[in-house]
This record gives sequence, structure tokens and C-alpha cells, in this order.
Amino acid sequence: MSLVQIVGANYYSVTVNVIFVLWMSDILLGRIPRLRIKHVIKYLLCGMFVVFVISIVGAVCYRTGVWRWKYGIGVLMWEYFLLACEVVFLQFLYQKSLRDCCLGAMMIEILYSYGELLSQIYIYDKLFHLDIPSERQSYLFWMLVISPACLLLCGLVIDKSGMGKVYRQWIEQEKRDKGILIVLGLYPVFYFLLKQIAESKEPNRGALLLPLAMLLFIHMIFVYVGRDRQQKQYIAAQQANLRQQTIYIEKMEQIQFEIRRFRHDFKNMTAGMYIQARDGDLDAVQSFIQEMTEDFDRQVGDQVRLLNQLANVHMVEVKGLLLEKLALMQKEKIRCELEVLRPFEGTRMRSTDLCRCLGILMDNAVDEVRGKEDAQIHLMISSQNDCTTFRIKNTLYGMIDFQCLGTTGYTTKGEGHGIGLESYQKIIGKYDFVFPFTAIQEGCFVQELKIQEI
Amino acid sequence: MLPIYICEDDEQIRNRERIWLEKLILIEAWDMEIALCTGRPEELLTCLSKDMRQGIYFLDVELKGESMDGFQLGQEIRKMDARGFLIYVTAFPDLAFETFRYHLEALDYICKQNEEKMYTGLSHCLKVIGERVSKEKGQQQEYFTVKTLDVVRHIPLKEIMYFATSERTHRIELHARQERLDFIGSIQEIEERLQSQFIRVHRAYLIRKDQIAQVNLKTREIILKNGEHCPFSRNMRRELSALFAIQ
Repeated sequence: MSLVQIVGANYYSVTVNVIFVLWMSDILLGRIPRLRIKHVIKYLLCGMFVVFVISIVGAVCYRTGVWRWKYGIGVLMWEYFLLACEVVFLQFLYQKSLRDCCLGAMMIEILYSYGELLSQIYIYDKLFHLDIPSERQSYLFWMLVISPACLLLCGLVIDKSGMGKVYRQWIEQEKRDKGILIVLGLYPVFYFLLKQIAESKEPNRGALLLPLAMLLFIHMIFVYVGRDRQQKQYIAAQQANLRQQTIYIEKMEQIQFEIRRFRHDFKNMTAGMYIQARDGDLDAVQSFIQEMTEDFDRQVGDQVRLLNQLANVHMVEVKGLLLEKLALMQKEKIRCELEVLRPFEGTRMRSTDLCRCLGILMDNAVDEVRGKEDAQIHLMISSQNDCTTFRIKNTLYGMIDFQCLGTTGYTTKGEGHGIGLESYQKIIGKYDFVFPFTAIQEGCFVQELKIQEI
Repeated sequence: MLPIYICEDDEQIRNRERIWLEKLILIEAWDMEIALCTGRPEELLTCLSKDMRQGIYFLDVELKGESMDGFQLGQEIRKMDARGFLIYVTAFPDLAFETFRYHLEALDYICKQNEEKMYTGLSHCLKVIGERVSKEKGQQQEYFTVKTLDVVRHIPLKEIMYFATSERTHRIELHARQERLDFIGSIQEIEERLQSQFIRVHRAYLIRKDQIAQVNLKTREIILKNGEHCPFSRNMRRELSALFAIQ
């Protein structure tokens, strides 16, 4: 076979692989963020270029016998070259961090191995001499039909069985087990070694079971880690729910207590008003009613108002966080106002990231006003026009070096602090649809997080 | 003359507002007039579409039985009168005013529960508007307008230190003296718009010329008046040397 013919044949198989990579990346990393026509054209061109490069390098390796290098060095180099191409391609598509793309590529490689192993059952004992027409025909049948069919089957199983969710969960995990990371990084080496051990004896179909067992083992680890994590999340959600309900009950009891107190005052007040009305003193009655309304507002109204606004927050995680922080502010004697004009159902940002960001911003606001006179924090959640805005405003007492905000270690609180805003910047840096805003306005420090919802 | 529009569903309160405002205008001799006093938001919008001047709007929040509430009416008004003064008159002292202010740039809100307080609120608002209008006449400030999703912000040009491209595609970071925000845009387009006052010192940085405090040729850094450092590209050396005193 000429080099051009090999490149041609490679082009087909690599295209199949790239389609598989796209499919799996959709399962593991989610939808490609930018899908306008101009972007799709760019992706297509990039995909075709990657396929072309791999095909040529593959053809050259075949011709020069790189894959026959001793100790499998050539094969391993080839595997890592493919991984590198995959990482570049994924980064181009998803614009995610290098680490996430590396993890995604390695995961896809593992999933690809399932399909590859399956297809190799057909060719377990064959060594094709492509110059012989019958062998070439057999090889082409394997490459054009068997291999894509196995990948398709494998992909369907991964897609339908929900395995993707487990993998995705692990990819999205903030703290990853270093051991698993190393195993993943060295996965091509382990896979190669196992195949070598299995094939060192007489070639038989059973030899394929060893690497397949390894793959299943890796998969089981992920399923275990995923389930464990799911369970922990479930418990955490339950606990948050419980905490939220406790705070809610406390608030209701507080309101009930205030109403009881007001009822007592109200009785005395109306008795006084009755005498004034009987005497025809209308001015006194008017000011009396005025005072009574203001008293009610002061004693009960504030709490009811807060709960009314909170009722518009329908996202449980955010509601829980707000309840906790409001309780903290009440304990610290910080006046807090919450505005949620329209119901807030949820957002595109991951709930854990959103809660972390809001938590950081609210904690900073509390730290700034804690123990100060007329301490006040204003929270606003506004969801309309396909975007959600979170705005946290607090009175500013000290000086803030505005230009250093968010840089490593900058803090107004002394040693050991200054990590909050930096992590905040890091989290929002992950999202293309999140727009931060920071300002000092009319003596207040304003932090805003705007999320585009479509 | 600034037109005043009143939209209030309660006829009694509407008339009280009108009479009080007329009195105030007469006593204080402000350059204002009541252009419309209605209970129907559509009427206000029709009137406004015929005469799109900067105006003052006293709007009820609830507007019972009407096709839109005060917030939606405010949004419609803003489309026609971006610089008008919106004041909300409400029976609820717990109005989400920050939300109104944020989305509609509302000037204030007045509680109509207490008549005396309502009159004081009306007087205060007209006074503030009068002062603001006369102040605006005296000074002409240039603004950089930026739209971030549903909000349009006007940032005085003299407050801006520099623009920088972000790691995220098409994202621009605006660094002002007391503001920092992200928006979608192209640094090239901004450069073309503001080239008289800004200089593109690096492919990622567009700096306001009069904010440059020092240029350090050794480290190839520009030190801004607020202490921030920005890099500049090699080919800008000569231009910067010609423009500023070199350290």
C-alpha cells in the first residue's frame, strides 16, 4: 500500500474516532458552549485538521515501523500523541481548563478502549499484511464495519446506562484523589503492559479478558466513588433542608411572639384611642393610627417582609444559604434587607458554585460591617429578561484598595484571610455566562453577579 | 420646561398629587409643568410617544385593573426617555426599591400612606431634580456606555483607568477608579471609538493616556496613577517615550 492509500484509510478510521470523541465529550463534558454557525465551521475545520495530522503521523509511524520499537515505546508515544491531540481538540471546543480537558480526554480514551477491545475479539489472532489483497480486505472490513459498530454499541451502553453521569460527576469534582489522577495519567502504560502480559502466551480470545477486566475495575472504582459522592451530597442536602426548616420555624415563632406582644400593646392603645374618639379629638386619633401602624411595622412587619421576599426564592440551596446568613446577621445585630421582586426559580450556574460565590460575598459583607454602628447589608436577587442578578451591598467603613481586590492574599481583615475573593474570581472564571461587577457607590461596597440564562 | 407625568389609579390621591405639585412649581418658580395626570398607563405612553422629552414621572406601583404595573410602565418609559426621572408613589413601605433603582434607575419612592410624608416626599424629589438639572446644564461630561446583559451603565470617561482583554473569549474587563466590570466586546472597536484619549499599549491593554504616571522601559511596564501596573509591547517603546517622561 502506498503512503497516500494508508493516509486515506487512516482518515476514515480517525474520523470515526473523532465522532466517538465528540459523542463521549458531549456525555462527559456537556454541551459545547458556543454553537453558532461560524463556530461550527471553525470546529469542523479544526476537526478535519486534527484528523489529517493524526492520519499522516499514523501512516508515517506505520511505514517507518515506529510501532515496532522495542518495549512498546513507539506504541506508547503514539498513544500519548493521540491523547495530546484530543486534549487540544477538546480545549478548542469547550474552552475549559487544561486540567479538565486532560481528564476528559483520558476518560474518553478509557471509554474508547471498551469499544476497541470489543472489536479486537474479531482480530485477536490476526496480523494483517496490507500488501496482500485478501488480508487488506479483511482489515478494511474490520476497520470500516466492525470497529465503528463496536464503538457505537459501546457508546450506546455508556449513554443509556447513565455511566456518563458518574464520570462527569468525577470530572466536575473540585478535590480529586491524586492516586486516581496518577493512575489515569499512566493508564495507556498499564493498558499496554496488561495487553502484553495477556498476549505473551498463545493468542486467544481469553487474553483480551485481562485488559477488559482492568477497564471494568476502573469503571467500578468510578461507580463506587460516584455513588459515595451522591450519597454524601444527598445527606448534605437533607441536613441543609433540616437546618433551613429549623431556622424557618424559629422565625415563625419569633413572629408569633412579636404578634402576641403587639396584641397586648394594641389592646392598651385602642383603649386610649376610644377615649380620644369619644371626645371628638380627630387629630389625636389620626396620629394614634399612624403610630400604631409604625409600631406594627417595626415589631412584626420587618420579619414578615423578609419572609415574603424569601418566599420568592424557589431554589432550595440558595434559600437555605440565605436563611443561614440572615440568621447570622440577626445574631450579629446587622440590619439586613432582602429584595426578591420576581420568583427566582434557578440558574444555569452550578448550585454548589453559586452558593460558594454568594457565601463568599455575603461573608465579606458581614465581616466589613460587623460590630459597626448602623451596620446594614442589602441583598437583591432579580431574575428577569433572561438573566439573573445577585447584588450584595454593604456600608463601607474602612478604606479598600479597590485595585487589589481579588488578587492573591489581598485582605482588609488581617493575616490568614484574603482567600475568599480570590476563590470567587476563580469560580466565576470557569463560566462564560457569568459577569461580575464590583464598585464603591455612595459610600457602599457593591458586589454583583450577573448570570446569562440563555 | 420639564414635563411632569402622574400615573396613579386612585383618583383622590392623583388629584392631591397634582394640586400639591402645581402649588410647589408656582411657589418655587421651577421650570416644570404638569403635562399629564392619568390613571391609565397606556395614555401616558401615548402622550410620551408624541413628545419625547426628558420628563419627571410620578408612578403608582400597583395600578389595579390596568394592563401593566408600575415596574413594567417604568420599563416602557425608559425605552423612550432614558434620562427621565422616575419616582414611585406606593402604599407599601416595603417596596423593593433597590430593584427598581437598579433596573429603572428610579430616583426615589414615596409612601402615600401618610399624606404629610407624601407631600414632603414630593417636595424633596422636585428639589433634587431641580438641583440635578441645573448641575447637568453646567457640566458636560463624557460617558462610556456599556451594556451588560439587561443593564446599561454609563461610566464617566475620566473615571476609567484602562480596558483589558480577559482570558475568556470576547470578554473585556473595564477598570475604573471605583468600579470594575466585565462585558462582551472587542478591544479594537473600543480603541477606534476612544482613540483620542486612550492608547493601545499592548494587544490586551487599552490605557487612558492621562492616567499614566510612569513608564518603566526596563521592565516594560506602565505604572498608572492608582498604582496598577500594565505591560506594554516592545513596539510601543518609541511612541511612549515620545509621549511621557521615562523613568
